[in-house]
Amino acid sequence: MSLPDIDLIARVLAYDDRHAFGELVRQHQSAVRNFLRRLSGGRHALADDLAQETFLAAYRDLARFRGGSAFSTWLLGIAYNQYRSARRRDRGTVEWTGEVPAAEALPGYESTAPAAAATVDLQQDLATALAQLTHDERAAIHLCYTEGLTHEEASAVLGSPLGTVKTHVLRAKEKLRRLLHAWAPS
Amino acid sequence: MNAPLPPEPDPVSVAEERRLQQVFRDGAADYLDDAGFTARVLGRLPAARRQRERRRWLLLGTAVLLGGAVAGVFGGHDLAAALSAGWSWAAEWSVRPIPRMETLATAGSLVVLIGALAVAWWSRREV
Repeated sequence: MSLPDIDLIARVLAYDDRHAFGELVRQHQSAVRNFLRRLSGGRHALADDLAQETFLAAYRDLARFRGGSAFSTWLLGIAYNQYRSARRRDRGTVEWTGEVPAAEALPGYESTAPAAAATVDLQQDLATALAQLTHDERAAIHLCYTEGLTHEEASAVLGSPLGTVKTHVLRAKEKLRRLLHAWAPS
Repeated sequence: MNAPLPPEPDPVSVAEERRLQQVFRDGAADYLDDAGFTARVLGRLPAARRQRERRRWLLLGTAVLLGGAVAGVFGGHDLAAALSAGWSWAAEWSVRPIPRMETLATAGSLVVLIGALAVAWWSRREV
């Protein structure tokens, strides 16, 4: 059974325990990579590069983690900063529009079961709809609805005031409601 | 007069909110396999702390030796005179009666305590 995050962090700080840090990476890499894939509009290679930079930055600044929030929340904040830095660097050279992943790239695509096909359709519709949102709206709605963070936690991750995050979530929901009307309750 | 009750939530809004949450749950990306990601991150970490400290002491030691060699070459005569004076002073003090042992022990303990506190302060880690 793996140790809790706080114990792993203590081992890294006290003994520079690389195994403990590796365990932290293994436990949180999926959430960080998914968040960055969502932000970068499906650019998997770019998202994974940013995810690597996220964990390297976390290793360098690990002593600054105070334990006031969950370690995963702290990591997502670093990931978001890495994403923003990358956007600033690439401004004017790379178009950061949202890309919709092809259906073949979605899990369950090859399944012939109707439920799996419906899930693939939903995933693609959701990805299409999210691509229509601004970066801030996409980040806010992902944190609150996929990661299950509260508005306060999302505000800490994004480094934005609470009111701004709530506005982003509200606007995102309005747009998604229109774009996903096919999935609306009858 | 009683305070007015908060308005009942619109059932359509509640249903839509639930459905949106369901959409996100169903449409959420699956768990991503590590597929060597952790190994790549670990491979990019800076050199281990012991290696960095060893390197630091090696540089420091080399600088001290080089500095001592330069001082010896260019100021050897004056250095020898100073060392000789220091040696004479030490020889003179070594024949004097030893002061009270308790005073020495207290002073020594204080020095060790202050040194230990200083080391603990500089090597502290916050979590």
